Amino acid sequence: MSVFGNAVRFLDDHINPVLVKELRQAVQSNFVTVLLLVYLLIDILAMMLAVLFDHSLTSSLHAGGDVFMTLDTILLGTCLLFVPTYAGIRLAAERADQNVDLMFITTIQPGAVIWGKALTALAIALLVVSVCAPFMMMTFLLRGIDVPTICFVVAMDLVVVGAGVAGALFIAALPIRWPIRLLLALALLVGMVTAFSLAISGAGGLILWGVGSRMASWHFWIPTLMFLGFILAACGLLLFLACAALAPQASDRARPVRLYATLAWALTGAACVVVARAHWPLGDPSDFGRSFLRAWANGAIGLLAIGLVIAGCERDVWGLRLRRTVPRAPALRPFWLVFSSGALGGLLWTGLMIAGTLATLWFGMHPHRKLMPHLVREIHIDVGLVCTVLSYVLVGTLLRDYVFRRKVNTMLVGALAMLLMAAGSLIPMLIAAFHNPDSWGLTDTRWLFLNPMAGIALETHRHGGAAVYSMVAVIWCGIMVLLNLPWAVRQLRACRPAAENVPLESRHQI
Amino acid sequence: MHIEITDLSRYFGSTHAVDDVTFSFNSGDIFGLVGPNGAGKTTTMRILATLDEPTTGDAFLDGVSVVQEPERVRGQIGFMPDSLPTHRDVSVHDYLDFFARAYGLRQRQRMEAIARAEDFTNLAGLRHKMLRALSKGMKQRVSLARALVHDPALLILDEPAAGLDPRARIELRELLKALAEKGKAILISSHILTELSQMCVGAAIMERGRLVKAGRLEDLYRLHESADGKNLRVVAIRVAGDSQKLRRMLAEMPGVAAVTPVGDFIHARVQGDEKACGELLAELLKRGLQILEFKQVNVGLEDLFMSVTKGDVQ
Repeated sequence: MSVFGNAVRFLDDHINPVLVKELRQAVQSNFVTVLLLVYLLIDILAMMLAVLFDHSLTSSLHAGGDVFMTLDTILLGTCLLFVPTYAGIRLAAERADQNVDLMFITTIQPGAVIWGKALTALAIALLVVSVCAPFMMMTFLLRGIDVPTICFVVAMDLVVVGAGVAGALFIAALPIRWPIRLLLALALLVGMVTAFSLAISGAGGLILWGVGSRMASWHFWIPTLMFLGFILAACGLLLFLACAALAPQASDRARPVRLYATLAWALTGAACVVVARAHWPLGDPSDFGRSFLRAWANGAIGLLAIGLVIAGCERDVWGLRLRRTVPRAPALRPFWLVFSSGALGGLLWTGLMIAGTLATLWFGMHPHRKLMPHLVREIHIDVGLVCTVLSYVLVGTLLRDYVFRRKVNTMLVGALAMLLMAAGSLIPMLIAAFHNPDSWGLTDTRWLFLNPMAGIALETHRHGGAAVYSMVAVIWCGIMVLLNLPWAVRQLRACRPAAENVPLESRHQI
Repeated sequence: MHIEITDLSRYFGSTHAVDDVTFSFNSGDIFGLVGPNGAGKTTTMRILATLDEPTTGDAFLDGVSVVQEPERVRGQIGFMPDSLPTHRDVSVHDYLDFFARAYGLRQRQRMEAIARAEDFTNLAGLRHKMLRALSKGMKQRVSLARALVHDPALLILDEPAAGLDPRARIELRELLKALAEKGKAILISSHILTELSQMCVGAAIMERGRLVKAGRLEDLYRLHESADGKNLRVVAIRVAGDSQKLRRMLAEMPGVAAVTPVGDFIHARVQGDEKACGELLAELLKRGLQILEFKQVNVGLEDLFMSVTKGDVQ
C-alpha cells in the first residue's frame, strides 16, 4: 500500500463519523442543493443588476465596495439564517424525547457528536461561501475594495456564522421542553440579528478603511485578535456545554466544562492584562486594552452569575460512578470537589472564579490612578450582583432541603432561584409604583435592593449607592451561607472514595 | 452474559410507566417481554438500551450498571426499536457504515461487519437503495442489520415482527434462533404470543407497568397448571358455527377458569384431571353443541397471558 493510500485509509478511519453521515445526507438532501442553487441565482442576479443598471459603476471609485456590500449582506444573511437553523433543528430532532436517534446509544462520544455537527455546519457555510467567492473577488475589479478586505470580511462572516452554530447546537442539546427551547431559539435569533447588523456595519467600515493598508499595525491586529479570542472562547464554552448536555446523567458532566472555562478564562484574562499593561513599540494600544479588560471582567462576571444558578441545579449526592473517582489522598479532594459535578463544588468553583476575575481586574487596572474611583464602583456593582444571585440560589437550596425535604430534583433549586429573583425584582417595584405611580418607585431606592442589577441604578441615583448595595448583598449572602452550612457539611462529608462493596441501594443513586 | 433488571421504575409525572420490575436472563436465551399496550415494555427496553434513565432501580449487564456506566455497556447492546429508521437521504450501506463507524469499527473490520449484517438480513442486493425507497418490511431488516452490525452480546428487539408478511416473520424467527444459538442474549417484545412461545425460553409478563409473572416458560406453565394446589388442564374445543355461544357456556360452568380464543379454537382451563375434562365434554354435548374437535393441549403463552392479565390499561 502506498503512502497516499495509507494516509487515505488513516483519514477514513479517523474522520468524525457524524461529519461523514451529515455530509452524505447534506449532499443527498434537496434542502442543501436547493439552497446552493437559489443562492447562486441570487448572486448572478445581483451582479447582473449592478452591471446592467448601475450607471455610476464605470465612474464611481466605490462601485466595487458597494456591490461587495450587497453580496456580503446576502451571504451573511443566508448563512446566518439557514446554517445554524439547519444544524440546530437536526440535533434537536435527534434528541427528541420519544424518538432519540440511535446514534446516541452507540459508543460515540458526545464531543464527537457536537464536533461533527459543528464541522458539518461550517462545511455547509464554506459551500455557500465558495458559491459566492468568485462574485466577491470580481468586485475587486470594480474598484473601491482591496483583496485583503474581501478575505477579512468573509473570514469575519464565517466567525459570526460559527458563533451562531455554536449557540444553535447548545440550545438543541439542552434536555428541555420544546416551548423553552423555542424561547431560547428566539433569544438566539435576536442575538444573531444584532450580530448581523454589527458585522454588516463593521464590514462597511472596513471597506472604507481598507484592511490592506492597516495590516502592519498593532492597532489593527490587537483588537482583531482579542475579538477573535473572545468569540472563539465563547463558542468553545457553548460547545463544551452542549457536550455536557449530551453526556450521561451519572457521568462527571461538569468537569470538562469547568476545566475548559478555567483555561479559557485564564488565557483571555492574561491576554487582556498583557495588552492593558504593556508598552507597545508602534503606539500605545493600552487604552483599548483596558477597555478589553473591563469588557472581559464584566462578561465573565455576568457568565459566572448565570453559572451560580446552574451550579445550584447540580446534584448534591454523588452516585457510585463519581465516588469511584474521588482521590484516596485527602489533599487532592478539594481539587476534585471544585472540578467535579456537584452543587457545592460548583458554587465554590464559581466563587473562586469570581474572586479571580475581580482580582485580575484590580491588578490589570491598578497602575492607572485616575481610573480607581470607576474601578471601585464597578467592583461594588459586581460584588452586589453575584452576592444577590448567590443568595437567591442558597434560598432555593434551603427551600428544597427543608420545605421539599430533598424529595424533588435539584433542578428545582435553579427554578426557585429564578422565580424568587423575578419576584424580588418586580414585586417591590410594583408596590412602589402603587405608592407612587409617577416614578414607578425608582426614586425610592429601598425598593431596588432585591434586584441583582440594583447596583447600577443605585449608583446612578446617588454617589456611593453601589457600595451600600454591595454591603447589604454581602450580609444577606453571609446569612444564607450560614443557614446552608448543614447542606455544605453533608456534601463535604460525602466527598470520600466509594467503598469496595457498595450496597445495591446506593447504586441506584444517580 | 447475565442480564439483570432490578427494582426498575420509571415515572412520568403520576403515570408509573414501569413500577418495580425485576427479572433476569442469560446468553443464549430468547426472553420474551409481553403485555398489553401501555404495559411498560418499550420503556423497560429503552432503559436497558440506555436511551432512557429510570426513576429508581437499575439494570446490569454482567454486573455493569446501564445507569451508572452507559458508555461501557453500549458496545454490548444492539437495539431495534419499534419505530423504523427515520433517516431518509441515505443509502442502506451508508446507514450501516455510519453505525459501524460510530461503534468504532475500523476499515477492514467495518467492511466485514457491514457485509455480514447485510448478508444475514438479506439486504446485500439493496445496499445502494435509499432508505426512503424501502418498504416497511425492508426497513425492519435494515433496523435489525443496524442492531447487529457491531456484533453485540445482547439484542433488544421491540416488536420486530410488526408489519412483516408471514414469510418474513418465519425468516425473522429463524434468524433469531440462529443468533441465540451463537450465544446472543435476546430480549424481544411482541403481541404475537404463539410465535414468541415457539422461540422463547423465558418470558416476563407486564401489565400497567408492573411485572405480573417472570421466569422460564416451563416453570411458568408448571406453576400455572398447578395453581392454588389444584390440578389444571387446558382443553382446546372447536365447534361448528358460532363460537360465542360456546364461550358463554364455558364462562358459566363451574370448574372452568379462563376461556381464551386461540385461532379456530377456544381454550378453557379446567380444574381437575382427565375425568373432569370428560365431564365437560359430556355436558357440552348434552347442551346440543356440535363439537368438531375436543383435545387436551399443553398450556401456552397465550393461556398464561390471558389468565394472569386483566386487560387493564393506563
